[in-house]
Amino acid sequence: MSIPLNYYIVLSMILFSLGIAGVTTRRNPILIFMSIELMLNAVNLSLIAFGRYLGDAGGQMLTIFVMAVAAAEVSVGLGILIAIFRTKDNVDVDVLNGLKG
Amino acid sequence: MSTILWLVPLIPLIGAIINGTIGSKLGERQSSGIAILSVIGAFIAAIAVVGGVSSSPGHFVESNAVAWMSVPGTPLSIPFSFHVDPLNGGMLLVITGVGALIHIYSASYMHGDKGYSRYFAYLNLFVFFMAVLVMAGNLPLLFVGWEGVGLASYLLIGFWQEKWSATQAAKKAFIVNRIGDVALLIAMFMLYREFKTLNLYGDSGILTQLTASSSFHVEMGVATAIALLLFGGAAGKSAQLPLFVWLPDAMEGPTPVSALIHAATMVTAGIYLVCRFHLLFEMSPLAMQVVAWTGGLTALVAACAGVAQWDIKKVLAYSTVSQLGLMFVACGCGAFTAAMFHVTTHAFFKALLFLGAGAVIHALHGEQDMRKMGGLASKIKSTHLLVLIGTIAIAGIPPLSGFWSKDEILLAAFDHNRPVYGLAAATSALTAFYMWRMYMLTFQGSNRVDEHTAHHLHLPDTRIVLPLAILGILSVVAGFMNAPAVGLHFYSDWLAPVIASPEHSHNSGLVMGISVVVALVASAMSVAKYKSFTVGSGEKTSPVFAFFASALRFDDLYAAIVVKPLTAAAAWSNLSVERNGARGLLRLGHSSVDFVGKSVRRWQSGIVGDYILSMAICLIVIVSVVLIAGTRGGN
Repeated sequence: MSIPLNYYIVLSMILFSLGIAGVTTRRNPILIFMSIELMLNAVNLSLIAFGRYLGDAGGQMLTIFVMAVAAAEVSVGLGILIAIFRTKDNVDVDVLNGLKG
Repeated sequence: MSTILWLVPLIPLIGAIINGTIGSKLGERQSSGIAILSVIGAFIAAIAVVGGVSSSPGHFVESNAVAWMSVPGTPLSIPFSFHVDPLNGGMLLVITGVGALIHIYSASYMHGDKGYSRYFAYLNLFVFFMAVLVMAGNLPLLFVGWEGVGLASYLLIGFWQEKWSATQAAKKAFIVNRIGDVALLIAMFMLYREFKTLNLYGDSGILTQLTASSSFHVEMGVATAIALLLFGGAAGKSAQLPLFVWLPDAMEGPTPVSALIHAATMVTAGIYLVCRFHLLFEMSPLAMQVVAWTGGLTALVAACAGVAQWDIKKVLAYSTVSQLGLMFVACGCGAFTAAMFHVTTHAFFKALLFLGAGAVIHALHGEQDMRKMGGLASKIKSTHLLVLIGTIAIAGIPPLSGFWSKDEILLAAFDHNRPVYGLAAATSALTAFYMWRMYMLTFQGSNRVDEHTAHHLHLPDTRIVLPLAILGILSVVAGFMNAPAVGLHFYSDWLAPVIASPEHSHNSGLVMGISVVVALVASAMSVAKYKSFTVGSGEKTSPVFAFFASALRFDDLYAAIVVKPLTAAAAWSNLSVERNGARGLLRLGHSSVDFVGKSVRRWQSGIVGDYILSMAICLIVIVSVVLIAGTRGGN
């Protein structure tokens, strides 16, 4: 028996909400990255679920794209993080409020 | 000939431009050299022009008209055109001739001033505008010159900008002159309405139309109004009651400026204007009365003020106002020739006196108070001799020039307006009195100069003495240009094409006798009174003296009726209109924007988490709205 589509969507929503909660509350950038990954994977999950439901391979294809972009994004993000750490000696996002108006 | 006409104003203008632009890079010698040569050039051109006037059959020289402006569909068309006839030709010679002498004098007088080239730029600019004023062939061009000399006067009175009193005096001169200028402008509008042109000469010019009065008729009331408005303009420029208050203050400028602008040339522009329009004035007996009475009263008031001054330049300033008053008396009595003749002789002896006073002030390192002079006759001999000549000339003692020109005026007043003659005769007596007072206080009596200055007198050099000497000679002989009593009347013959020569008067012997006696008695009284002057001999404390010294408190009167209400109104409008009204409105606008900005600014905390939270909340809101709307729309 197959699992209904609703389950996937609800799981995806839960994962996405967890990701948002993580991004907004965490102060460690590594954890924020992980939360972002969580959000991306929630989206991936729903993409695959919808793809399967509609019998369309586009969902899986898009997921692979998202994973590739996510890997690139993380590597760039970590690079920036190291650069910030070198200059500021700190990576706490609450302290890094240089754009405060 | 018309090309030479253009040269008269053009050469000083070039001088002004050179000195005004690169003058500060030139040395004093080059700077003054350019200025002096440009005015001498203008003088030579003026001589050529006047020669052309006397040899031309119509007694005038005209330049080709270059288009300036015109209004399509109306007769209004104003060219750049110059016109010289005997009337303004004579003035042109005085302006450029005396101007050249004063430029030479200034070269030494202003030595070492840090604004040396600026000074000469202004002075050349003045000669340019003055030439434009007298040569102008139409009223707008005359007005350009009229305002231009006002500008030059303003710049030169306030030449020492770092001196507060000088800048105040400059502003006062400018503002008081503006009042007269408004009258002149209105007169121009009315002239255009009546004559449909603003050109003065030529076939349809205003003056031509006035001459051919048989074919043209102006209503008496209109003629009177125009004449009075023109006189209003003249009264501003020529410092007549009630607008004379600026001239005594104008003495804040350098002394050569006072000699050139505020004695010899610019202030006589009003007389010139009235003489130019003498046909119009003659049409209106009322206007003539007003001119005569204003002139007479101004002459007397200023003469009274002149008696009570301690500042040597102020004496001469009030004397100038007084002499200008006498010239207007002549105009008001129909003796326009006498008025122009007095303009000429006055230019010589008043420039001489001012330059002489300047030499004294120069010698005493800037001291202008006559109480700190005295006994200078033996110290600066040449200056003393020349100022003595000037004093005799202005006091009206024959046979120097002042006697002849003043006598003509007194004669005209005696024949046409006895009460005004009384004013003029009293003025003559006072003139002799205060001029001898000035002479005695400065050159005779005990030496009251302080020790240090007395030992370091600045003796005048050639560039100062030469102009004085030339003016001295002119002051002696100029009277013989027009001395009907001894059968000389070159000047009235010269002016005859423009102004009809006066008819012979049988009162001339009587008036001349009275003048001579009055002048001699007043001079003798003055000499006797000030022979042994010591400081504090009681004059200062007398209230009458103080009243005279303040020129009958005209300044206080204007302060009370004009300046104070205006300042009060300005203060009121500053408080209510500006501070609470306009500025309040602006403040409301900017403070509301400020408030919104300040409250929204807190949103931008710089913390990424906050942004993402706001983003998520907004997303949720948008998605819910879309969903709810979609559900509704689906139904």
